[in-house]
Amino acid sequence: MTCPSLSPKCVGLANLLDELLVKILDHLPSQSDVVACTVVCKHWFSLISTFFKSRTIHRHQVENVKNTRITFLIKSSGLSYVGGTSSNPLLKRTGRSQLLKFLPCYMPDYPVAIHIVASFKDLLLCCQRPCFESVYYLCNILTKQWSKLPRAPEHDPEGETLLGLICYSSFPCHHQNWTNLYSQYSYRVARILVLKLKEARQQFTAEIFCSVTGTWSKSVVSSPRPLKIGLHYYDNKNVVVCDGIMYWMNGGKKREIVAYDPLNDTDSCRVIDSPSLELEY
Amino acid sequence: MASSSSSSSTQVKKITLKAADGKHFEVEEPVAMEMETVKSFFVGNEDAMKDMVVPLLNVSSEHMPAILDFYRNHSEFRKRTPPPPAEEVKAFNEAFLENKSDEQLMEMIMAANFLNTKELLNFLTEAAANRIKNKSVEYVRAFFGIENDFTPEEEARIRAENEWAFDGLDED
Repeated sequence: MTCPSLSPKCVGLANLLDELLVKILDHLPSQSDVVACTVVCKHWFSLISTFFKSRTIHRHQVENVKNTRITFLIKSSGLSYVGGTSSNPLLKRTGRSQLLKFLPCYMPDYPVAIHIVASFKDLLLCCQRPCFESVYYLCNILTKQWSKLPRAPEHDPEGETLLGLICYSSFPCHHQNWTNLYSQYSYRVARILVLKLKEARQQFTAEIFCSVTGTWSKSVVSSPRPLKIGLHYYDNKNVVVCDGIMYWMNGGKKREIVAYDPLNDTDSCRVIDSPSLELEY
Repeated sequence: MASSSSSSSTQVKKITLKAADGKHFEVEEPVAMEMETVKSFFVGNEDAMKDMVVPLLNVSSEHMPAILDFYRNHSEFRKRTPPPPAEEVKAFNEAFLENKSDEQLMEMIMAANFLNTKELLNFLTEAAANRIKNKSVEYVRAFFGIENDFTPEEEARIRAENEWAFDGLDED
């Protein structure tokens, strides 16, 4: 590594090497602090923008906004702002539905048309229902950044889907250096088509969008046991994502949990028995 | 200097470091080897050990005692079993930063970077970040001695685009 031969006496602080400046900014606890630093001067603006672009949508799921803890209640019908310890007055005064106003599919006359279909940390996957089920937006309500996914395959408009959003890093997560993290984050959206047949099947269809290839692909997923996806007698089709695996309740009385890994194994799933104690809904 | 074993022994090898302004510092070998820059000076050059003076061109003698103190204490923390309580490390770190001006902190960051010691650099850059977090843009400019080269219109535009990030910053 070469070091500039500056004598310590003439090292103005403004001459701080970019590399060191990045290290300092990387220690800032919140993303908003870093964004605020873009107006310091033109050089900082370009320096921060260089690695900030990738941070906007792919990276902040790890970085998150540590100073801002907000709780949202995500329901199939929309979004409720529950509360939190935000120092950001913008969020304090914003009510439900208003938060998604920045999306291009927002209709002022019909705000509830935007549905949040999946989430991953501070990223929300939204679509307009019932008309545009195949157009998805990935967004962050704090930074108001969004990106539109390529159109998903069309289906029967009456058909239902289970959706999972999974963000992952192709890099070990202990890497703290921004420059290393540049565009290392990717995501997948898995859409499970709900079976309409009354009888259980040992396979189902999953459509997976991969941010790396930018395309949707279709998989026929086989299951070790018959599944009744979507035939829940309780109206709850939530998918929980943990460590890259999607989990949801199988329909039927046994209340098994279906586990599906859209990152590593798109062709099969596992079925987990519920604990013996009675689950309450 | 009291960190190493018994009193009578003179076996602890010393290495002489020369700061940018020519001042010499005698440092115990393990402490000196905390600095990658010093270490790489001796790699494949073992016979140079004895009387070689290692020039540290970018480190002012003003900061050498504090930097060496950091290495001594932190290498002792690392070796100790059981590990020292977090409060003890925190207390040392806080005392280390207590009387340092912003300018001194920045100079030490440059020095730590030159000496290529991750632990110290990480510690100091975090300390610098703590001094500017939640501060206004004007404060950050003053802290780093940077002149604003945006026109008022340009600055207003960037602020407007990122409105959310500027809410809740300190006024000072």
